[in-house]
This record gives sequence, C-alpha cells and structure tokens, in this order.
Amino acid sequence: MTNKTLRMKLLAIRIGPGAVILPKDVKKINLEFAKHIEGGHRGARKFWRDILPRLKYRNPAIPMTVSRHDTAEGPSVMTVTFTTPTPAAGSSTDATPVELEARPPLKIDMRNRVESEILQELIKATGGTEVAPTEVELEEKRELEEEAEKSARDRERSLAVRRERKREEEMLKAARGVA
Amino acid sequence: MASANRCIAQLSRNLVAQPLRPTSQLPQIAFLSSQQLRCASVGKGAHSENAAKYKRKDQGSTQKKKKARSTFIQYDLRDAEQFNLCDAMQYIRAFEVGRLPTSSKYEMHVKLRSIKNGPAIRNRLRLPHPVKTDLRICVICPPDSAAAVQAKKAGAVLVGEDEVFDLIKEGKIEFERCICHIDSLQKLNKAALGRILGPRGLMPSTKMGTVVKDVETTVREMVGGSEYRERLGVIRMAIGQLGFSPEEMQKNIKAFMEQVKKDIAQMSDRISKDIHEVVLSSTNSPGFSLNGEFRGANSVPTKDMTAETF
Repeated sequence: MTNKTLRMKLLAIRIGPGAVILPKDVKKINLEFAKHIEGGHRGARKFWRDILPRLKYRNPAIPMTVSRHDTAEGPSVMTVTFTTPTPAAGSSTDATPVELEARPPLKIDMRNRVESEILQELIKATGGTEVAPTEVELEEKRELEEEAEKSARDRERSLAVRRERKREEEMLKAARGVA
Repeated sequence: MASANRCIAQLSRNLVAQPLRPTSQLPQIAFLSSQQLRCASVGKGAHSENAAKYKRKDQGSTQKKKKARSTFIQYDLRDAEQFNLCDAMQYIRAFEVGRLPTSSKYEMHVKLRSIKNGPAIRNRLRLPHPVKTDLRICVICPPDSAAAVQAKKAGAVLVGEDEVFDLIKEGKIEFERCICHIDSLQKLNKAALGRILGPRGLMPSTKMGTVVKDVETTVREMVGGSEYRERLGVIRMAIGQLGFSPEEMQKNIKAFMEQVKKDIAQMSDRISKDIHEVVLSSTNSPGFSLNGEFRGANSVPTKDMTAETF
C-alpha cells in the first residue's frame, strides 16, 4: 500500500481520544476561545485541533463551530445545545411537562484545562459512547508503529555512516593541509 | 563470421585492384574503417585492446544520453486507496471542522495522461452550484444598444463605452472581468487602455474569448462561472463550498468532468489525452482519490452532511 501519510492521517481521525458517538439529542457544539493561548486558552485550542476532528468524523450530523476572539480575558467555553425531545404519541398523557422541557444548554469551562479533561467532562455530561477501534484498525496502527520504529533505526544507522564519512574526509583534509 | 568473410572479400578486392593503382598497400590498410579493423582482429583470434576501448566508450555514451521524459509520471492506481464521494466528504468535513465555511473550499484535481510539451486544456464553465457569486463584470458596448440592456440584465456591473474608458483611465477599476462587444473593439483599441488593463489581465482579446458578439450569454456564464486550466498535467479547480451537500457536489463534479471530457474531445486528433485520476481535497485536508461511486454501503446518510450540519 502506498501513501503512508494519508493512511496515518485517516487512522488518526478514526481512532484515538475523541472517537465518541454523542447521543442524538445533542444539537450543536460551539467552542469559544481566544486567538492566542495566553490566559489559559491552550487546552481549548488543542481540543479543537486534536479532538474535534474525531468527534466530527463520528458525528457528521452535529454542527460544530469555533468562534475565536482577540481578548485573553474573554470566555473560553464550550456550549452544547440540545434538541427539544418530541413526546412519543403513546406516552404523551403521563409525561410530565418537566420532562418535555428542552435541556438547558450545557456550558463547559475550558480555561486552564487540558484537552483530555475537557473531553472527559463532555462525555460525562452528554453520555456519549466511545468507539472501540476494530481489529483491522489496530493492526494498521501496529504496522505504522513498526514502520516508524524501523525508520528511526535506519535514521540512526545512516547518521552513523555519514558521521564516519565526514570524519574521514576531515582527517584527509587535515593530512593534506599539513603536507 | 559473415562480416569476417566480407572483410576478406574486401581485402582480396584491394589486392586485385592493386596493380591498377600506383599507391602501395600499406596506407590502404591504414584507411580501413574501425569496423573492419575489429573484424580483422576477431579473425586473428586475439582480443585486442581496441575492442575493449570501443565497448567502454559506447556504454558511457548511453549513460549520458538518458532521455528526458516527455510525459508526466503516472502512478499505478491499483496501489492507491480510493474513496467514494460520501466517505471522502465525511473525512474532509472532519478535517475542516471549526473553519469558516466561506473561507474553505472543496478542490478538484484531475490528473491527465498527456505529454509535457503539448497544448494545455483551458476553458471556463458555469457550475450548477457556483462556488463564488461576487464577481464583478464590466461590459464594453454602446450604452444604448440592445446588448447593453441584456448585459445589465445578465448581471454586469459596469456597461458603457466612453464613460467606462474614462473611469479606467482615472484608475477606478472596480471589476474583476472585462468583456468587449465586437462592435466596440475598435473604440477600445483607440482608447489605448492596454497599458492599464493588460498587466491586470483584464484587456479583452479574441484569444481569451472576451471579445464576443453575444454579450448576454458570456456574462451569464461568467457570473458564477470559474476558469480552469491544465498545469503540469493536472487541472485544478475550486468545485464547491464546504457547506455543499453530497448531491450538490455530485452535480458540480459531473458538470465539470463532462466539460473536461468535451474539451479533450475538441483537441486535435493527433493529441491524445485522457483522464487518469480524479482527486477531491479541500483547503485544509489531504487529497482523496475518488473511485467514481457516490456512496458505499457503510456511508453516512447524505442528509447528515448539509450546510446546516457543518
């Protein structure tokens, strides 16, 4: 198989932290944080860059937006809005009005927090189910890791060769200079 | 062995001819060609240094002569992973998450099998769902003609002759495309605007297809139309906004591919071009080689991928 980069990128989007299927009543996710990382906006940005693509891949129907502002003091929040649950035709009589009310939007504070923490809170609050990687995907991951190991070994080996060659050249040069 | 025989025959002929010629035999041997000399040496059964020398020289020259490739590299697509449109779009939308839908675009790359120095495909088309709609067009034609009215109706921003020339001379160029009616071409050339419009690529010319008789259709095609051209064997074009649904993308891609095929058919018979690979990518995503199918068995339902759910 060719195109290792593409395979790595796609695998990274399919498996890893954030491969979570969110429940159906999640309507929209919006992240709001600053353009610069000062003031504790690092985790929020990391969450957008690293985790949000996986969430989006698993939940293509949920719109996810990012709005960024210029002030470090500004908010760093994730807002999750929910759909109004439609009452089932049969149970509409005994359903209490409290249950029919729309869930208030969930706000998760992202300031000064690591992206994994933010993800944990999101999963806990919404009740999403994590997608376990399949056998094929694990196998592919293992292959890619092996290849990465091998290239690290090869890199070292060729570096040693190059270093040796350079040393010899320098010695020759020095010898010539003396003569 | 045959060549050796020939060699002997020539030698004998020389011998026969000798009495008629005043020259001695020695210089004649010196005039023998290299091939004959080699033959002679083989005939003697000795491997002379001469032969080895010629051999080495030949090898050297073949290495130097390594031909420059006249076509672009074609990779074997059997090795490539290919995607159907819906899967590719699901990945692309994941890569583009959190971006402004207006700033990122879907891109289409069509790789052709063609020669490097041949003519390139260059054309424009109007997609069923235009990518950008804010193109401003200037039409140069007599202001009170029927063409002017039609052009305005079709969406041209600026229509006229002298007043347009004056505006351009003042440096007010508030348009991105310029079309000229055939009847106004002389006036345009007299106005000497080539200095101003030329460097911006706005000067109408027959070559570019911007001097036309039927202004209305050209304008209509340009509004929401986009240009494409073949560069290094690949046609690249923006094919859609990120908010497009798979169906809209399918329509756009189909229209684009049909147009490209038409362009290829229109090229002269001697040049053979055909489509090798079609790749869909976007501003921030890797490229996905398409396999031509709309959706696979496990694809996400298309209603999940619309502008509202981006």
